Order: sequence, then structure tokens, then C-alpha cells
Amino acid sequence: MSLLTVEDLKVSFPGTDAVRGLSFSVDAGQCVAIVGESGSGKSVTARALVGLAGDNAAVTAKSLRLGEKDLLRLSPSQWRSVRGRDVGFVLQDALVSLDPLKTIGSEIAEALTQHVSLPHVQVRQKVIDLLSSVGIPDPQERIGQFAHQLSGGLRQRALIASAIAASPALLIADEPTTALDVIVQAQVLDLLRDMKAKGTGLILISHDLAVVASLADHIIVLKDGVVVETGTPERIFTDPQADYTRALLAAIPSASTRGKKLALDTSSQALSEPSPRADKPALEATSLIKRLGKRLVVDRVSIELRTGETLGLVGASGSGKTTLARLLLALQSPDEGEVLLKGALWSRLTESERRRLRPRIQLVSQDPLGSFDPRYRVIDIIAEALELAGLPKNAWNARATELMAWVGLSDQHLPRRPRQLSGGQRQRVAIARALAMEPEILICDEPVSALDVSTQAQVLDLLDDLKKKLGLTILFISHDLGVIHHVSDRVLVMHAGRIVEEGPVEEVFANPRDAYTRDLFAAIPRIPEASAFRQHNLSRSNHVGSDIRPISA
Amino acid sequence: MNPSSSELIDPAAKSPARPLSAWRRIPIGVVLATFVVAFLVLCALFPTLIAPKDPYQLSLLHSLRAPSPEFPFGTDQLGRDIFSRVVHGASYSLSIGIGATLIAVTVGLLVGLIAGSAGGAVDLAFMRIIDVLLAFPALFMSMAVVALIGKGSMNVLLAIAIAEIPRYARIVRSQVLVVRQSGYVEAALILGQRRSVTLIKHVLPNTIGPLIVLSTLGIGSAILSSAALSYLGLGPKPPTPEWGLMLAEGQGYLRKAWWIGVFPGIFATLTVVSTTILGRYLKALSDGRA
Repeated sequence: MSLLTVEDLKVSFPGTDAVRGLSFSVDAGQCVAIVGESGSGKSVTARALVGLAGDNAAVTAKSLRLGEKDLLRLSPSQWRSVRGRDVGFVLQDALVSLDPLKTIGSEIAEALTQHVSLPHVQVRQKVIDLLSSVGIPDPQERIGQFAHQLSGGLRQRALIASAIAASPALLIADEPTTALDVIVQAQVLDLLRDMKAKGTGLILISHDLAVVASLADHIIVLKDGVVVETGTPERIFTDPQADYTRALLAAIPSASTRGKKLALDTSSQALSEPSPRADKPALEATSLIKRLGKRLVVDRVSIELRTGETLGLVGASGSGKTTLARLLLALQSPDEGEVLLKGALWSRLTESERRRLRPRIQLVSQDPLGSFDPRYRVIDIIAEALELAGLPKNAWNARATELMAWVGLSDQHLPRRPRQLSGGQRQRVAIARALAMEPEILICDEPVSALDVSTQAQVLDLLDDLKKKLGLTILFISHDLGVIHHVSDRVLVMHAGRIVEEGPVEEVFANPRDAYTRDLFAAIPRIPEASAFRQHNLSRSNHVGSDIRPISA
Repeated sequence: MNPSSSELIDPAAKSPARPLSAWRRIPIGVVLATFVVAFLVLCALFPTLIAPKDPYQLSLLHSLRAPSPEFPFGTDQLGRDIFSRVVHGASYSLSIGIGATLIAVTVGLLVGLIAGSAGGAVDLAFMRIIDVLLAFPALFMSMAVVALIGKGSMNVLLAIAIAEIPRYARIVRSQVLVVRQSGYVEAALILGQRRSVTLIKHVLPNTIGPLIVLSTLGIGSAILSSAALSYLGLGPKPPTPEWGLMLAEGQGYLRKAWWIGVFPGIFATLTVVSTTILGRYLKALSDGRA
């Protein structure tokens, strides 16, 4: 008897069909992963399964059964008793999902007492048990804290604790680790694996195939609300049938993709090795210190960005990467130390002295939309840069066309508004604007972290092409080790404001010397090699009920 | 920027062109308010078109007539046609409401821009003065100003404007602070744009947008203040057909001839309610809530 049976699930909103026929079943102790990019309908599916698809959504299915219950016939009040007791729901962003005015103790107690009648005195003990069962240290102390006092990882655990408070048989986790950095992500995935081993059914929703690889027994690949491919992880990873799945797998940047194009359609021809030119360092920082209150956000950081290289800067969130980038861009001034641009004064200049040098060092940020004036069309955005680059007005049109072509857009995009563009196109516009200044140095601060894998692949390829074409020097900042490994010539690892490791990328990845770096690398979710599956299968055949029978889509 | 937030499919975002059904979705209250405001604007611009009778024409023969087909809103103690006076009064109320708001918004914008973009001691000084001014009720401020500069329509307009300035200045300042922190102002800095140009090209326009919406809300309260000042005898002198003044004049006759005071009161109320409804709707539109 399956925990959950879904047959031909359809969800539509006025004017769009978000999910068009999805069928699967989940047994106790099993994990079904639904993988897809933005707009694929994976989150809508999750919401439909807990009756939260929204008032304007039409949810239909041949059958939607949770154990004995027919979910299609539930009234709102019956849904409330199902949610939490039978199905737990974990969302991506724990800070938004937890009530800011409640301690996590009372948040979890509420989820608990909603469904389980428990004498008052036992509630506290039960909450402490729950907190320690999700691996929160010092639960006695944490129980009285508020969401904002917890780190991202602890928050996510607290959210999972409240989702499993009434011990539901089925847990739906929608991108439970997307907002977390790799080390914390690995811990949360371990926690989910434990729960699976204890017999909880799991539906894991993610955009990241590598994340689900270690956990899923069955993978469903969704695109535009349609099932593209389903199968065991072994099948999907070793012998993907659908082109889309293959593209998704190929687009994941990692060590093995170095020097190759990521996006499939441009074929995987090897690119020539970059040759850093020996010259004065393009940008040089000497023992930079930046304090925030008593805390050292940037702690004695010295870096050298050599002309023509791509320097990768990797670190977890809060490690000081962005502050360092802002110091290098002279958006903030360091408390101590200084930054030199081509050996000349940079951070010590006044802003009016610096203004004429500004074009030489440009930024591509994580949030391109936020960097555009909301009233501007693409053409206005580019034009502002061209005007500042000192181009005569009659040359603007030709130059704008050229820039758009460089970043893989066309003239047709010029009159559009950034809001009408996709995330990848917006980032291309931001890159075009930076290039309009004819910069020597491009600082890319998490330029692809908000993008889907396949879009991410295209943008990474584009940056690489442009670097070769224009001889750019790039500082590439990311929390994603795969991305860093793919793009960088040399790499810096940042932890708690310090550079803990530095060296050529292959050396650092093959042989990390620093303990933190080793932890970081160990936590990267990987798609196993084909050989690993054979072993995995051997060990799995001892488990009970590991074969699940998906109803074909 | 989390990937799954864009994934919760927003039907409004996906289908841009739906002119017909979009019209139907405008709340009925907003439609009514639009008609009321349109009618008032017509009254203000072409009063004789709607009420051909002279609002100043005395006729003791017809004094204190109840509403009838000949005098739809009745007549006052001096036999003047109330309907005509109410219609002609629209131009006073609207011009004071719009004029005072315009002045208040313009000065508030300047003060807020200076305080918000200068920062430091300038900001601190401006904001403390504004805090002090905001501590007084607006009507009290206006009365104090009229007491200083004298009665009359123009002075009432100025008095209301002065009382409203601090509110707009404070809103502009906080908006300037938000915009200054924004990614696009920083982007301009990185491109090497001058501060003064950034202020004019990016900060000012992105500050004015929300302000225009707020000022439509302000028109209602300015009209109310002007009626209040006139009622207290600080506004235009009789026999001007100003609503507040007419209310004050009708007060003594409420039991004998209720229509003298009630109709100007209804018009003033309708005006304030309608402009407020429109202002709120505009605000909701610009916040993306409607």
C-alpha cells in the first residue's frame, strides 16, 4: 500500500497549465524527487499535494490518495487536519516561513498540539526531543530563541522539526537546501536521509540534480508542467533518455567540465587554455581590514589579481566575499590596508579623482534587475553607459547593436523593459552595460547563483567567450564550488573574513591543505559515477521495499 | 532572489493583454469615485453649464424655499439658489485642494531631497525642524499661519500648503534614502556617473513616482482643511459660494431650512471621499496590489 498515489495530476491557473499530467506513488521509507527548473511546475505540484495551490488554481486528477484518504474530496477544515498530521511540508526559506514573533519552541509546540493531544508538561520535553532529533545542538537553550537568532541551517532544521512534530508519514520538502551553503546543505540532506531510513516517505523538490542524487529512489524530471523523464537515479544519471535531462546533466559545472562549453547546443569542443599575461597585477590589495562593530568582516586580506586571469573567490555565505568585492570596487573604503589599480592609487583616491578611472573596473552582480533603474528600458540602460564611456551620440546605435550581439541578445531586446526579460537575459544586459565601459577588470559577484542550471551554463560560457575575445581580467565570486572549479585559473578560499587557501585551481581542488577547505569540498553534492551505482545497488538490494512502481506518466 | 518564488505561477504576470476583463475588475467604488471627480471638475471648469442661475442673485421673494424642480437644492435666507452656489463652490474647493497640495509637494520634495541626499548635519537639522512642525495638528498649524498672514482664499491656500509640507518632506526623505541605497544608484556610481547627475537622473524620478500617488490622497485632506478654515471664518468672505462658508451660514437655519447646510456638506464629503478612494486605488496600483 503506497503512502501517496498520484494519478494524472493537473493544475491550471487562468490562462496557463502549470502541471499537465503527473503520476507517481510514494511508499514508506522512500524518496521521490521532482526535479525541474523555474516554471516547471514542481513547486505548484508540492502545493497541490497539501491543498495550498491557491484559490485560482484548478486541481484535477484521476486519483489523488493519501493512504485511505481521497485528497480531492477534502474540505478546507479536513485539509487542516491532514497537513501536519499526515503530511509535513518544508519550504525553502525558513526565515519567511517561521513566525518572527514566536520562539522556535512555541512554533514547534503549536504544530505539535494542533494534532496530538499531550499534557502540557510533556509538550516542552517533546519539543526538546524534536529539536535534538533534527540535530539542533543545545535544544534546551534554542527553544527560547527567535528565528532571526538562528543561523540559516538551524532555522531550516527548526522548520523541519515543526513539519515532523506530529510525525507525519509523508514529508514534502520544497527546495529545502537551496538557501543554504554546501556544508549546511550536506547536514540537512543527512537529516532527511535519517528520516527516510526511519520509514518516512519523502518527496524532495529541487532544481539541482546533484542534490537529489544521493537521496532519491525515483526521479521525475519536469519541464513546463510535463514529465520529461522518470526513472531510478541510476538510469537517469547513467543513461538519460530525454535530451532535456542530458542538457541538465551536462550543464552542471564541475571539475570534469573545465575548459569545455557547458551549454550543449554549442557542442562540447575544447577551448584553448587561457594564458595569463605577465604584467603588473591588474588589481592588488594589501592586508585589507574592514570592521563591522567589533567583528572583522574582512581580516587582513591580501590578494593579487593578475592581468588576464580568472581568479575564483569561494566561501560560504557570511564569509566576507561581498564585502571584499565592495572594497575592491571602492564602494566602501577599508579600515586598514589599501587597494591598487595597475599599481596606482585606487582606494585612497577621493571619489571625484576616482571617477575617471571607474570605467576600468566594472561589476556584474547577483541581482541584475536591482541594478537597473526601474523606469529604464534596455536601451536607456545601455545608453547611460555609452554616454559615460564618452561615445558620441551618433555612434550609440551601432555600438548598442554590437554589445547586444556580444552578449547573445539582439536589437529586438533594446526597447524591452528588464522585467519582461528572463533572469538570464537580464544578466546578459548587465554584462553588456559593463562591457560598454570597455573595462579591463570585471568583478562578478555571484553572477549565476540566481539562475537555473541551463541558463547558468549559458552565462558562464558567455563570460568565458568574452574574456578571451576582449582580454578581460575577472574576479569571480561564488559559493558554488562547481562553478568556481569550472571558470577559475587560480582560486582563493575565504572563511570568516580570511583567505584560508590560495593556489592554482587544480592544485587546491586536488589537494586542499586547509581543514575548512577540506570540509567544504567534502560537502559538495555529487552525481555518482556509473560504477558507484553498481555498488550502491548491491547494498540497496538488502533493503526492504526499495523498488517503487511509478505509474507511467 | 530564490528560484522558486518566481515559480509560483502568477497568472496576472503571464497574460499581459486583457483590456476587457481588466476593466471589469476595477472596483465599483473606484468607478463611482471617478464619475464624482469628473463631475466636480466639470463644475469647477464650466459652472454655468450645469447651474445657469447666478449664485450671487438675491431674491427675497424666494427666500428659504425647500428643494423643488425650480430650485433643486432649495434657496437660502437671501433667496440665492443653493444648487448654483454649490456648483460654483467646486472651483474654490478644488483649486485650494490642488493648489495647496502642489505647493506642499513641491516644497516638501525640495526639502526632502536636500535632507536625504546631503545626509549628516543638514539632514539632522531639517528632520528635527520637521519633527517639531509635525507635532502640531495640521489644522492648528493652518490657523496659526492664517492668523499671521491674514484671511482670504489665497492665504488659506498658503496656510494649508505650509501645514502639509512637513509630511511630504518626511516621505520624500525616506524614499530618497531607500533609492540611494538601491542597486541602480550604486550601478551609476560604478559606471562613473557624477553624484549630481545621478540625483537628477535616478533619485529624483524614482522618488516622485510614489509621491504623486500620495499627493492625490492629500488633495482630499486639503479640501477638508479649507472647508474647516472657511467654516471657522478664516477663509473667503461672504457672499463667496465656498462650501465651508455655506455650512457656517446654514448652521443657524438647520431646523428651519436644513438644505442650506446639508447640500454643501454632502458635496464636500463626496469630494473628499472620492479623491481618497481614487488616491488609494492609485497607490494600490503602483504597489502592484490591484
